[in-house]
Amino acid sequence: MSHPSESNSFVSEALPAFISESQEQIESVEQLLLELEEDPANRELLDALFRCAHTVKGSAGIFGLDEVVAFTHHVETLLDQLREGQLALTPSVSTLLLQCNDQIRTLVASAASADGADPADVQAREVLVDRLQQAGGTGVQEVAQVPATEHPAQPTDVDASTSRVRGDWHLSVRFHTEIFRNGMDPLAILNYLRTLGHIPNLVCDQLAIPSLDSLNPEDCCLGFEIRLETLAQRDQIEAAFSFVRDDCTLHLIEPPVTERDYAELIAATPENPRTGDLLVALGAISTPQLEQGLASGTETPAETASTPTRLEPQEVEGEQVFDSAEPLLQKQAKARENRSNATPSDDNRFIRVHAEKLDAVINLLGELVIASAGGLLLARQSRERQLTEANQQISELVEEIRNGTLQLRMVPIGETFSRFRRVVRDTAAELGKDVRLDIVGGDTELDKSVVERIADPLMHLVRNALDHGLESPEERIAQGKAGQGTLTISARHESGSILIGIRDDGRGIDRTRVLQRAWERGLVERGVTPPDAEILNLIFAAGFSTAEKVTNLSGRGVGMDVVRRNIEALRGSVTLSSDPGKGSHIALRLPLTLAIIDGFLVSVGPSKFIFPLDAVVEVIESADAASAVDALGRNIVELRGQVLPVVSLRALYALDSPEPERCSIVVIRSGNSRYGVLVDHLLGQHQTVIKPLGRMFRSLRGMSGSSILGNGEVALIFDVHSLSQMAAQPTARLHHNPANSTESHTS
Amino acid sequence: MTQPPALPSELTIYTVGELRPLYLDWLRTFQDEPPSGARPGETLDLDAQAVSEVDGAGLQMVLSLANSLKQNHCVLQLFAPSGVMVNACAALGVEHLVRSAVSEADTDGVVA
Repeated sequence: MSHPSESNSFVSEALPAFISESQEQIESVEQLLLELEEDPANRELLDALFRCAHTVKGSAGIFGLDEVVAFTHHVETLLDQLREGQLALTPSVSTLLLQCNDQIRTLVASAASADGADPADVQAREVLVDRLQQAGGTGVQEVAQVPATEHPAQPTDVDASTSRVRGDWHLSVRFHTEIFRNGMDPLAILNYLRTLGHIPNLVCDQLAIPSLDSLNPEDCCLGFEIRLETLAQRDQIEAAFSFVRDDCTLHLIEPPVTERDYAELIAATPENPRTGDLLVALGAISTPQLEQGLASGTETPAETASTPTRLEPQEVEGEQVFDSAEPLLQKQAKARENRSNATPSDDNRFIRVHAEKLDAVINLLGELVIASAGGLLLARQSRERQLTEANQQISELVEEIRNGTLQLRMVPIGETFSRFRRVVRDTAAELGKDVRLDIVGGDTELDKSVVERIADPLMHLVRNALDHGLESPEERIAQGKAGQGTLTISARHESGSILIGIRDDGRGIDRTRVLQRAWERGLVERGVTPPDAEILNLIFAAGFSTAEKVTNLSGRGVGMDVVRRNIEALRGSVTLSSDPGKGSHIALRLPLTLAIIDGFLVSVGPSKFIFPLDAVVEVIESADAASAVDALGRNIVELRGQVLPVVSLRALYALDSPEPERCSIVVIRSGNSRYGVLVDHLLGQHQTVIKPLGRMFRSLRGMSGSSILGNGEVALIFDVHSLSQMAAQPTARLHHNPANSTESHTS
Repeated sequence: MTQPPALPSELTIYTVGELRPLYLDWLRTFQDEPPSGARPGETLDLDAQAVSEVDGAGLQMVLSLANSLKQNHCVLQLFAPSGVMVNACAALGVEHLVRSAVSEADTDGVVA
């Protein structure tokens, strides 16, 4: 064995990977259980569920996490009964399994921390184990309970408790070459198999192993014919191979194994021409039977039948085994060559990288973008053509690296959405509602850091819709709706942003009640009725809550104002629409990434500003384009018959530089609306590394961040959505955030 | 050099890469200059008493060496195999490597 210190260091190094992988398995268990509720007869789902639980248990065993192993074992036992059809997946069993999964999650998480077990958790687990045992009954023998290191009990022919007859199974297994490199050991699997019963005979296909000069010691060439006496069911035997499902070829023949079964096995494994001889060595068939089978069997492939590469009758120690070694080795070498030449079409390989490492690369990339912009600027100033071209090329390459690297951090949002299935299921049950969750566009990708930060606001919105939006089945039916409510969570890309929608077909928002509450809370002067859209937006005001009773769901101290703040902190926006009696729709618009964007650089006097390039529609160059003023006192411009409001940055931020003779209007798109921004000069496209605004400038309206230009100057990045709201306001109200100049803000 | 080098304490996937050249060198010397006593059918002893850790890859390498020697009409047998080695051979169904030595070894836990 390795030294204890080495094993300890192995465990501490590998533990984070175990925890991360186990958490994925635990997530899968939850999703599979929820899917199974919809489709209880789906055998594949049930098998996948069992595999996930088995994987968690197996890996926990490697790390000596006995509590995880012991608890998961009980869950596995129940799952096994489900697979054998001894138990049906009723909603109560499903709930129990979900609760058990939560406990496994807690146990795995506690493996990461040094804290001792929480007594409440220990007690909860005891209760769950009792319930698992009650649900499963007591009549099932727990075959897998024998630890791998112990020997099985003496075989008995019939187990009284189950009335299952112990039978002789036949296993033919060929481990694939990659198994060692994948960290698995056939020896351990065979040892585990012994815990399922008794192995009276086992033959190793020693001829499959090449001689030392042609052996790649890391390639596995092991294959076995095995007789197994066991009470275990097929699933349990297969489960012994569940860790190497893709790393071996397994033929499992149920008892009673007949001569015909063996003939079929030989026919089914033409790539293993020694199978027949190994079966003879195993004592499974006799030489005459083998010869007869080879000569007569129609199932036997012609090639094998006509040129039997059969060995002489032999003992397992095989003095004669090597007589035909050469042709067989050649065959095997050929087979291996064929395998290695096969196109790795389904070879989806992944490398697990710590998120921090990726963040560090992206931070460095930000610096690289700025440095390369600096280099390009200096090169242009030098007016050296070749130097400029070389820098231009570097700049383009940096942009490609930027896109590629940011892509690495993109993850589908579906994973986050799937978590809501459980929330919807449990919350709806708690509230006595019947709700179906539809997920649309789950494969839409966005930056991992955005995904992580929107999970909580989304959760709140989903809970809100369940609690306040959707009605009880009785109420719905009374209104002529279907008893089951629908909650739809959707995601899609739209001009450089991701649009997330949460739609319910519930009661909608009662504007009268909202207004009443706003009057009570002093959010709106009593008696004043703002426009419809503004009434809805009152929900996002701090201190607003329409919940008439404090349920478990509301009253958590998190209101819609916090949701909006969180979304806006991500340079996103929230809009709400509602149709009384028909439902509500909340739309979240978020940037795809928080790190680097393509920007459009403009200047007003000495100050520099950046628009996200995706939001820029076009540019109008005109001396007096925005001289017109509408009835509200807003500057406007007419563009191809359409009137757009125009924001003057000079006026908005009180920049006191002299106006140039000619200025330009940048037309910006925000959602469905368009507006113009009056600027002095257009400086062109710019790779923009987003830096946060300093604390002093967070209150600055219309800005979402800052960026450093190649020459070291600071530019402010616009939040096109909040700027659009400012553009829609009358000019007089725009001046309440006076600022001197952007340079003084950021220096 | 008559007998192959003794097996080390760790005979696993982590050591087979280093061990293979060692045994291949020995094998070449053996093939070039067969020891005076080596005759067809002769048994060569591979010292396996030090083995404290073995896995499928380790045992596969020993079987590969046995296959190579077989081509030279010699039989490989483990000498004084440790309990761990005996168990592993039994588990993989290659007891013939240790059969004659098994009575001398610690057979506790032999499972087949």
